[in-house]
Amino acid sequence: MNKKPVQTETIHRRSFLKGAAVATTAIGAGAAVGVAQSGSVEDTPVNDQKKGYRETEHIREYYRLARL
Amino acid sequence: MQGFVQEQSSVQARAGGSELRMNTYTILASLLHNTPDPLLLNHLSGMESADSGEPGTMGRAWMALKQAAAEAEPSQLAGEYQDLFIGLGRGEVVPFGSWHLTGFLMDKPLSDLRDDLQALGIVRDDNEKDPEDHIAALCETMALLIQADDVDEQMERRFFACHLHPWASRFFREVQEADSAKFYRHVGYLGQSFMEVESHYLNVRTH
Repeated sequence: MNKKPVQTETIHRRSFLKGAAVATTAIGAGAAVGVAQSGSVEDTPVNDQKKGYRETEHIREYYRLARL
Repeated sequence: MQGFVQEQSSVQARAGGSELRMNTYTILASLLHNTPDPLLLNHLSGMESADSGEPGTMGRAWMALKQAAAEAEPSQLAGEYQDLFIGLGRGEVVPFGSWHLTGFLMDKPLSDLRDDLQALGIVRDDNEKDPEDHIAALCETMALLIQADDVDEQMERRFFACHLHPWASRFFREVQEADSAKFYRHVGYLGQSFMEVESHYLNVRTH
């Protein structure tokens, strides 16, 4: 519910396109690569404990993706 | 078991892969638009792999980028980015689609792209001076399309096929081979690998 954002704004202080900040929010809010952000930004609290898990999940998914 | 995993892969990708795809596009856009700031480098170098199996292409690419991010000297990245993409007059690698497709900047591919972006309601930021066929803008567009509820995969496929597929792989390969690329060599590898995965995923034929 609280907006988050320091990280988001820091990483994506300049997006190329208007509205791309929405797409980039997921990344800033979690980890750069690992975010498994589902649903809206507001209802998905992200905390640091979850971050590692999400990063790991992400990489694992990509092993699979890479074997397409 | 291996076969099972492989068969599952495309299903998995379609069901749960959209966030991964979106994030990959966003990270590529971020890395290609600007020199990465310490926070992004920190995130990249903090990635972990829990998969003990043989990594696929993307797994290897992520791990290489992780290592590069950990070893990167933030103070040198700005110079590397400058030499690679901006240069004096022109950088070592041109990040604009039109140039790759016709040999000229801001040629017909850009006006085609602008028509498509307009139809999608996607607009360049007011502070942005570069034309929309910059690779970072195209990656951002893909991230927006993947994220949008009212965009079906057919539109993603069409945008990818028209505006990224014809040149992005070549661009990322040039980045890997560029003399001034050190950190960005790994960005190029990730990008090229991802373009291959995407062309499979979106079922876009290779020319």
